[in-house]
Amino acid sequence: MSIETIESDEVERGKAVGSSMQRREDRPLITGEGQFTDDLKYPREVQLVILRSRFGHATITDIDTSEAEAMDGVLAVYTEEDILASGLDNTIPGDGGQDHTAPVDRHLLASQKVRYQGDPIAAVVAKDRYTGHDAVDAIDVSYERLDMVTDIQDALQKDAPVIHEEAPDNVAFEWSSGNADETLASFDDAEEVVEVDLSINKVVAVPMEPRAAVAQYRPAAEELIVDLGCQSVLGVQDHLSGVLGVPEQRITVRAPEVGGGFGVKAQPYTGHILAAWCAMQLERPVKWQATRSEAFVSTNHSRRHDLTARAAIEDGRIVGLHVDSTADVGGYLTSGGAGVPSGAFGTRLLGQYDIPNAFVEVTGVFTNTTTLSAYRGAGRPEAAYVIERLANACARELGEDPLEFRRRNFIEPDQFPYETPFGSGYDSGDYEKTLDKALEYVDYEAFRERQAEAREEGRYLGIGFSNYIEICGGGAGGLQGGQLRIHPSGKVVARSSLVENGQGHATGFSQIVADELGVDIDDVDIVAGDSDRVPEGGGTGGSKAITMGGNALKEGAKKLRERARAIAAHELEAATEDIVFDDGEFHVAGAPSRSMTIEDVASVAYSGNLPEDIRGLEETTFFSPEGSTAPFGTHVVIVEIDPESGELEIDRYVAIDDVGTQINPKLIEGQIVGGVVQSIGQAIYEDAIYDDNGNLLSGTLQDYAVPRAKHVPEIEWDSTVTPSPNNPLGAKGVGEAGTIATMPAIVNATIDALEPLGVDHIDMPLTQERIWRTVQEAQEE
Amino acid sequence: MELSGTFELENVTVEEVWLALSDPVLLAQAAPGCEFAEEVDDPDDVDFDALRAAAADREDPPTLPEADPEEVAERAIEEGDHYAAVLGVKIGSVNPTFEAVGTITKREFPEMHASGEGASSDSSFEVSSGMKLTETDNGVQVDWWAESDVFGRVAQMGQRVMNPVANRLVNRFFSQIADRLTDVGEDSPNVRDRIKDLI
Amino acid sequence: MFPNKFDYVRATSVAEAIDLLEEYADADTEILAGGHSLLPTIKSGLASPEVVVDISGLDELAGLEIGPETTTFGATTTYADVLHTDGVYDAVPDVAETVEVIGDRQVRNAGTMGGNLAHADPASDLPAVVVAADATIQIQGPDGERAVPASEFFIAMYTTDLGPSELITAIEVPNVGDDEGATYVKKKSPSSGYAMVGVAARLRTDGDSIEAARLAANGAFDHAQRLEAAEDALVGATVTDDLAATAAGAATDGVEEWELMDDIQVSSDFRGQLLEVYTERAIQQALDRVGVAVSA
Repeated sequence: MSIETIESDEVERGKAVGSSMQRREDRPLITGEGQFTDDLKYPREVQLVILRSRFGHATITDIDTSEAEAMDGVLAVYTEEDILASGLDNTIPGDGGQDHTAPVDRHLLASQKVRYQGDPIAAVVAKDRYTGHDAVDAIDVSYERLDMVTDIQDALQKDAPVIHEEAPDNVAFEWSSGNADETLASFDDAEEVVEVDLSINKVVAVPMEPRAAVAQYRPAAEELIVDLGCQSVLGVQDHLSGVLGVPEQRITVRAPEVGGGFGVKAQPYTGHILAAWCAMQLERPVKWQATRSEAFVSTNHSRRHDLTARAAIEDGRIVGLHVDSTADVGGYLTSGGAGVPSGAFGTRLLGQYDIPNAFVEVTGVFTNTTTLSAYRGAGRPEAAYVIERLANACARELGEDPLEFRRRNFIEPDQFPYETPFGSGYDSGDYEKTLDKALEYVDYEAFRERQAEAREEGRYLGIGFSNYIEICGGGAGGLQGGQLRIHPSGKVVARSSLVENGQGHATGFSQIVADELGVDIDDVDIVAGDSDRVPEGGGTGGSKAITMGGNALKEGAKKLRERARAIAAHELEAATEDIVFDDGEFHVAGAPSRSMTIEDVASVAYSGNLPEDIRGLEETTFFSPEGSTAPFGTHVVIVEIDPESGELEIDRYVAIDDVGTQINPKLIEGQIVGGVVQSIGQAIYEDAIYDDNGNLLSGTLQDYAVPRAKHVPEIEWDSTVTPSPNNPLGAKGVGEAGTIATMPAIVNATIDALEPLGVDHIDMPLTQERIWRTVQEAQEE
Repeated sequence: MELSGTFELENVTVEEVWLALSDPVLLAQAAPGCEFAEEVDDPDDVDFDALRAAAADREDPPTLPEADPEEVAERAIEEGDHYAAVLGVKIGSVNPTFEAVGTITKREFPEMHASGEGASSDSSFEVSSGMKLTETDNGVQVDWWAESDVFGRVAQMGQRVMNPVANRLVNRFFSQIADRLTDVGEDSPNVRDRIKDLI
Repeated sequence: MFPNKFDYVRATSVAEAIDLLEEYADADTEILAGGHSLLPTIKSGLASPEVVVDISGLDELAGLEIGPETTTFGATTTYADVLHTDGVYDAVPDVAETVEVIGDRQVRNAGTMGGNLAHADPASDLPAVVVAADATIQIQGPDGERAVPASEFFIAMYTTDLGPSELITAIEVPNVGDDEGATYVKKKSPSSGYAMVGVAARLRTDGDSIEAARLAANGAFDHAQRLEAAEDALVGATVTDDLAATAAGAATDGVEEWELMDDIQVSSDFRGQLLEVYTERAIQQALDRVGVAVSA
C-alpha cells in the first residue's frame, strides 16, 4: 500500500481533516490488551450452549431434557416451553408480516418445526463450556425428518416441500420498482435486446470473532446489562426491550472490541437474546460464545440471486433495463432478509448509466438453509455485478469496446443530482474522471497488444472493468446525534452512538472535531459503543459513520465553537461579530493581542457569572442530511488464466474511488482494500454449499475458502474527489465501496481472457474446476 | 450417495446363499463395527443401554457352514422384522458410533430389501439396501445396491471424506458377505445335504 | 474444541508407549505427537478417542540424521526442524520441498513426520514423496521391530500397515544422487491447505534417457499410490521437451473415475485432469533438477 501515515503529534492544528494520521485504535489490538466479548469475565458467570437442529427440515415431536438436566454442573435446560412460560411469545424481530412479505415469524427457540440445519432448539446453561456441550449432546430430540429443499429453483417447483404453512408456494416476498410499462414497451421497439442470466453465489460472512454476548441482570433495579460485539448498541437495546419486555432505559448495551461486523452482527439473533433471557431467569451473568462451526450455520449468509437482466438498446444506448430476480432468504425471513435483496439491491441497478426506463422485480424464496441478510454492501455488490456484467455483454453484442460503450452511456456531470426510475438518487458524480484516472494507471492500448501477443503464445490474459456506483451514507429523514463537551481543562470528549467494528471511527471523528475546535488532536477523546454514554442515533452499517456520525460531530463542534466565540466576546468585552477564530484562538478583529485560546475560554465557561445563554460548553446536536450519497469509481483487473488447470492469477488490481471529501486517506485506502479482498473471496473462492439433505457442506474453514493474504494481489489505489452536496463535510460513504466494485471487474476480465476459447459467460466463484469446465464446454460447442 | 455392485460365488446354489443371507448373526458379523444386533418389536422405542448390557457377555452362535441349518432357519430374518444395532465405525482415527434400527422391508426369494436409520449425538444416517440372487452356470450371482443419506455434524464437518468413508463401509460389508458365502461354497456339499430337507 | 472425555497418558520411552498401547488396546486409543492430524479430526467430531497416548516428548524419536546414502527422520521430527536442518535440501530435496508446503507456519512448528504418515489422510503431502523416494518406514510394536517399504505402507483412507499397538519410529529416505532429479508439486486447497493433488517424482537419467522413474500422487486417490502407467511411459524413454506431457497423459490410464476422490472443491473428473497437469509439472521439474542444487 502506498499511503504513508503521520503520527498524531505531526498533525498541524486545524489541518487534521485530510491528513493520513496513524490510527489511534491499533495499540490495544496489536498488543493484546484489547478486550473482546469472551475476554470479559464476571463473577459467578455461567455459560450458555445452544442445541441446534441437525436436520434442514423436520418436525420435533419431543425434546427430552431429563438426562441433560441431571448432569453435574448444569444449571438449567430451556426449550420453547420455558420461554412461553416466562411470558414471552418466543418471537424475535424479522422482516415477515409486512405488506409484501409472508406473514411468518422468526423465533427465539424452535418449537414444532425446524427449517434449517442450525435452527436453535434448546439452551443449556452450565458452569463451564465442556459441561454445556456434553449436556447439549445428552438432550434427546425426537425428529421426524421431512423432505428438504436447498435450492431456490427447486423451492419454487409445484411439488416442493412446504417450509412455512403461511407461504405454501415458498414465496417469502414479492417486490418491484421502476416504470414497468414504459420499460417493457422499450423492449418492443428496441434495435437490440441483450440478455444475461446470472447466478450469484451464496456466501458466509466470516468475521474473525464469531458472535458472542455476556448478559447480566440486576433484579432489584430491574436492569439488564449486555456486552456484545455488535454494530448498534441502541439497536440491540431496542430489540432486547421489545422481546424481553424490559424498559429500554433500563437496558445497558456495551460493545467491547468487535472482531469484525460486516453487516451480520447488526441483527437480532437467538444467541444474544437468549443469553439475556437466561441471565434474567438465573440472575447470574450468562455468557454465550459461538464456536466457528456454530457461527457458520447460525450467522446470516448473503447474496444469493438467480436472475435475468435485459437491456433494450437504441443507437448504442441502453433505453430500457429489466431485471427479474429470484432471491434466497433461507429458512425464515430474518431482519433485512427481505429488504436487502429487494430495495437495497433493486434501486441501485442503473449503475453509472443514464437509463430512462427501468423495472426490477424480485421474488424472495424460502429454502431449508441458514437465513440470509445484509453482508458488507447489502444488495449493492449484487446490483453492481448485474449492471456491469450486462454492460459488458451489451458491448460484446454490439461488437464494440466495453469502455466506449460505457462512456456513451454514462450519466453526465451536469445531470446531477440524478434521479433513477426507481426513485433512488445520486447526489453528485463524474464517471469519466475515475475511468480516465484508472487508465493513467493501466495503459489500455498497450494491454490489448500484450494480450494479442500472449494469445499467440497460447497464454490467456484478460482485462475487466467495473464502473460502479453505490448509494449509502444515510438519507433524508435519517437522524444522528453527536454530543460534545469541552471540559474546563480544555480537553474535549465527543460521543456518538456508532460502534467501532474496525473502521477507525475514533481516528476520523477526532480529526473532524479537532479541526472545528482548533484543539490538539490528542486532546480529543471519542466515546462510543455504550448505550449509557452516547446520544440517540444509528449504528454502524450502510457506510454512514462519517456522513452521519462525522457530520453530527462537526455540526455539534461548530455550535460549541460559536458559543465559545460568544464567551470570548464577553470576556474580551467586544461584540461577538468582531471576534475572529483562528486555529483554536479567538481574537478581536484588528487587535490580535486581545485574544484567548479555546482552552482559556473553557476554563471560564462553567461560571454562574456568565449570562445564561452562554454558560457551559456542552452540546448535543441531532443531524439529518439533505439526502444520501453516491460514491463511485472504476476498478480494473488484469488476469491470466491457464485453461488446462483452471488456474486464475490476478496480475494487477487498480482501484480508483471517489468518496467525496476524504477525512483520512489512509483509512479510506484501508477500507477499499479490505472490501476488495472480501469480494475477491466471493468472486474466486467462496461458496456456501448445501447438499440435498440440507447439510451445509462448506461449514468450516477447512472447506470454506476465505482468501488469505497470499491469495490477494497488491492493490493499487488512487482517488478523485467529488464532494457530496448533501452534508456539510461533503463526504460520501466508503466502508462498502470496495466490496461493491470488485466482482464484475474480475469476472469481466476472466471472460475477456477466455473469449478466444468461446467463453462468453461464467458464474462465480471462479474456482479452478469451474474455469476448466467452462472452457471444456465452450470447446465442445 | 448411491452405490451398487455385484459378486459371484462358485459351487453354491441359490438356496444355500438365500439361507446364509437370512442369518441375522452372519449379517451382523459382516456389518462394519457392529457391536451387536438384536431383534426388537418396536423400532421407535429401543433401550440401547439395556441391549448393550445384555449383548456384552453373550457369545454368537455359529453361522454357516458350521452351523446347523435348522438353527439358522429358525432365527432367519423375515419381512417386517426390526433389528436394533450399535455400529462403531473405525477407519483410522475416524470412529463415529451410531445407534441404529433396521427393518427388513422385503423378503421374497430371491430378493431382499432392508432399510435402516442410525443416530449419534449430533449426526444421523438413513440407508436402504437390497440384494438379488441369480443362478449362474456354476454358482450364484449376487447384485447389491445401497442408498445412504447422512445428516448433521458428520456431514457438515466431514464432507471431504464422507463419500469415500461411506463407500468403504458399504463395500466392506458386501465383501465380507461375499467372503462368508465363499466359505459356505467351499463347504458346500456338506451344507447342501443338511439343508436339502429344509428348503 | 469440545471433545468427549478421554484419558491422557504420557509415555516416557518407546517401550513404555508400546506397553500403554497394548494396555489400552480394547479402548479407542490414539497416539498424540504434534496433534495436527489428530486434533482437527477430534474437533470435527469424526474422531472420539477414549485414550490418548502422548509420545511428543520422546527424544528417542526426534531429530534427523543425514547419512552418506540415506537420511533418517525420527518419527516426532517436526516439519520446522526439517526445514531448519542444514543439508536437507541437498540430500533429499523432494522431502524438503514437500515439508515446505505442508499447512502453514504454525502447523509446521508442531506437526510431525511420523504423525502425518501414520494418519494417512488421503490429501496430506508426505505419503506421496516417501513412496516416490522409495523410503522405508521403521515400525516398532509388541512383536518387535520391522521395516515396511513406503509403497506398501499406505493401504486405504486412514489405513496403513501399522498394527494395533505399533508406532512409527523412523523414516529412512534414500538420498538423491547426482544423476537424479527429485521434486514435489502440489495444488493447495485454498481452504484447508491440503493437496487437491500432489505429485512427487524421482527420476534417474544419464542425460539422454530415463533410467529409473518413481512417481506417486496423493490427494487424488484414497491413499498415496504410485502412478505406474506414467512411470512405464518414462522408463527407457528419450528425454525430450514433450516427454513430461506424454508421460503425464498416461497418469490416469486404467484409473476408474470412482477411484478418484470427489469433494465439493474438486470433482473426480477434474481431479483426473489436475493429476495429469501436476504429473507433467512434477516430471518436468524433476528433469530440470538433475544435477542441479536445490535450495529453500
